[in-house]
Amino acid sequence: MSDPSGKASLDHSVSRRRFLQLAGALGLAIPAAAPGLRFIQPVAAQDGESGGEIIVGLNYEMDNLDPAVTPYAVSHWVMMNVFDTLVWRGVDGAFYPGLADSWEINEDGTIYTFKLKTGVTFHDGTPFDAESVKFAFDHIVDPETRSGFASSLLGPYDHTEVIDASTAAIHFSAPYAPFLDSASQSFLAIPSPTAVQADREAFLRNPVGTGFMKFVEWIPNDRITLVRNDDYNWAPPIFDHTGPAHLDKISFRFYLDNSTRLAALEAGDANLIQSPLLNEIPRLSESADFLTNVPLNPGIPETIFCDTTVAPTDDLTVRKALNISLDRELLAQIGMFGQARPAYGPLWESTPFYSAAVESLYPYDPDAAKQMLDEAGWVEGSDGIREKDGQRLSVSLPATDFTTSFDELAQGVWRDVGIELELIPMDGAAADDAINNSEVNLYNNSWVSSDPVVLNNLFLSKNIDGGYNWSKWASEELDQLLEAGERAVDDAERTEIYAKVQAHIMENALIVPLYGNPGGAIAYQNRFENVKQDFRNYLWLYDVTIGS
Amino acid sequence: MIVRFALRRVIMMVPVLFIVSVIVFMMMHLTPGDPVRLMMGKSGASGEEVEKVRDQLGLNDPLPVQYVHFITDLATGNLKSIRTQQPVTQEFFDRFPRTLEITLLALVVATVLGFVFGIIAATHQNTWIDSLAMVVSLLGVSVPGFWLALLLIFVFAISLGWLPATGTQGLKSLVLPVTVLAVEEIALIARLVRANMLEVLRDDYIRTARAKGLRERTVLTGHALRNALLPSITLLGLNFGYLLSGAVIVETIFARPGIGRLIVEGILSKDFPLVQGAVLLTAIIYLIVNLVTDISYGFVDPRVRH
Repeated sequence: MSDPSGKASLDHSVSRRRFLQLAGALGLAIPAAAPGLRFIQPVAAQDGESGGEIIVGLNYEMDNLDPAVTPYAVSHWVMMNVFDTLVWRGVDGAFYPGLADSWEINEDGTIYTFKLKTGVTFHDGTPFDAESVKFAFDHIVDPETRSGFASSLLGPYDHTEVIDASTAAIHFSAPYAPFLDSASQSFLAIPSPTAVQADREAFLRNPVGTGFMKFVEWIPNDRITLVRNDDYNWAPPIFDHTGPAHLDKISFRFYLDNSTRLAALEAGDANLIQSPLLNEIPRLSESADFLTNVPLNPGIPETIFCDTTVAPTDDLTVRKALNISLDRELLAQIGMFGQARPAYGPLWESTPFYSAAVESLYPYDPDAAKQMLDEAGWVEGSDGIREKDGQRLSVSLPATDFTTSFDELAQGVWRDVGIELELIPMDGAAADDAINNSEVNLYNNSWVSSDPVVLNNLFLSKNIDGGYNWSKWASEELDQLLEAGERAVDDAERTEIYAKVQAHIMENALIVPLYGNPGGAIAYQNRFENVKQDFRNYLWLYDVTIGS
Repeated sequence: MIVRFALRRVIMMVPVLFIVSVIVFMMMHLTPGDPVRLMMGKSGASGEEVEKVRDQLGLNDPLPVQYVHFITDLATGNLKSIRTQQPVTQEFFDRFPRTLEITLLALVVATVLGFVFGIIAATHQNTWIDSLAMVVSLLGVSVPGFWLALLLIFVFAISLGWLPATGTQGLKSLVLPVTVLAVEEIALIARLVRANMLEVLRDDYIRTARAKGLRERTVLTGHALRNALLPSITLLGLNFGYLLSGAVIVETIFARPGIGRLIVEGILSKDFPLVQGAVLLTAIIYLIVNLVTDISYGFVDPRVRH
């Protein structure tokens, strides 16, 4: 029988009314007790010049901050404040002293001897010396470490010889030309051996280095906080000052969604963001409050790789036609909102040992494309798409977020010469699977690198099975050239070798280069001065000051 | 008796969780993509090296073996994310309070407003007030969450600057995410409350109460409302689960940590242990919430005894 007045109670001690009261109290208490619900005062600059905080909005959250382990470019953005490298690569491409004051390379490029700076300490007080360098590199090649990227930068590393406390010699089992460039990347930065040995797993989320910033905390999916290292006194000569940094604090926030990242900048949640939406850049750069910089990344530009084992991209004529019928100027202008420039070869023009000869290989000429296809027996069908021996001239490309600005333009442009581009919507994981299993003809990617040795990953025949040779191209000639390029310590020799490499790749039309990758673009509030980007377009915040 | 009921329900959870775990395991493993290849994408690793890491992680074992490892690792707290090498339970519970805070607040807001709209509509049935209340709440359910989120960010964070666009600092950062989440729920609750109220208001005991001379307000709050409350409590449990899933969009757009985002990002990187573990943990929480809801139903409605 119902009792609407609520006075009935159960056999147990909790009455209905009491229960509802408790539920109410609990409902209010939970949000208040939830950790992290705190008010944080924004850090203001102490005066016009020194102090203050910068909040950087990243487009991806890295997996960890151990330079030896993490494979992500975005990790570099954080690590380069917390760690130092032996050498630094200036914007001019030359190498400058970092933790090493000077260095010598033996004649055949198998031994690099570094004279190290003295008086340098890690954030945990451990002194930096040659043993730290040995530990760093051994840690990278240790199979327990499961290095995601750093180990490839070390190439044929053999061992490090500690000659004395401030001299270390790195020995390679074969000549290794790219080593100085590798050593300038934060993936080969020197961590505190004490911290890593104390707890290797904890170190993944708690980096300790010699950098101008000290790591404070990493709240997953939320932010990373760094504070100034007041003992810092060993800045490389490429910067405007020495001694501690001007900024008190650097924070990183993670905004995967492009619109959110932009909104964060405009609402002031972030002071500087990585890769702003390209179509918004003109508006931001014209605005009185923001500055933008859109450098194009060295390494492999935004490129379409052709799987040479799948019809019809197994046909050289087809691959050449794809290249010749593509109006790259138009693509860069419209597809990338004028923020990119055309690429003509496997290396972007700012990459060392770029060969300009590739620029004249496939000038835009749709009529020539039609003619070459006609001559090769590709006959136009009734719907305008060509055919030969029952094979339709249809090429498939996984359509992911990265290809959208290109997709529809290319479809139209290629249809005009009788090639059908089939776009298959997929996420990154599925696309990777598809090209790996040769289920599609084309695959889009780019790769930031400041040394052409990066081409080995993509074109050495040993990287076809389960590796990243997306073109599935096996050529002894190319293999030999690439391996020679890695071993040639003499610049003139490397220039010659890589000219041949680029010519080989483009003459065989293994790829369809599109445009320089504007992934290093940044937009920031203009009260932040001296924001710089390095040779690879990563951020340099050491000299930053906050104006009024 | 409650204890027996609860125990029976807990035991029934086991087959449900088993089925959930198998389904999510199969979905992850049978869809294309390999987590190690994705992770080592820029490492310059050769096919051999990638295979070695896959072996180390047990990814080349037969599926049933992998499933057993998954369950035992989860039970012993050894289940580690492939991407970050951190324990899955830690990744999950580090973020769970964040999802909980917006979900619970959204639930409270949606319930309160849903009730208000529902009661107003019921007591002014068939007038323009009724129609307005229903249309407004219907708009809430029709508008896509991500669109509303971006719109609110644009108006309140960028144009007016009253609220932060993203992040987790301070109570202000909760306003927009909670609004977006709640808006979708209000219509459902409002319509249910309205329907229940209308039904209850037709009952005999209401007529008796009015005949006794009680004020209309007392009739409503003292009698009608309490009985209309009952189906809404059941709905609370279901809403909680629904809100947990809606949190994905809100967490991504407002750049907040949370389990919705954790799972989605895990799916995109094919992080098997993380997704499987997190989904299973979510399922357990959801089942517990429903159990609590069902038990409290017994407290609130004296007619129902277990």
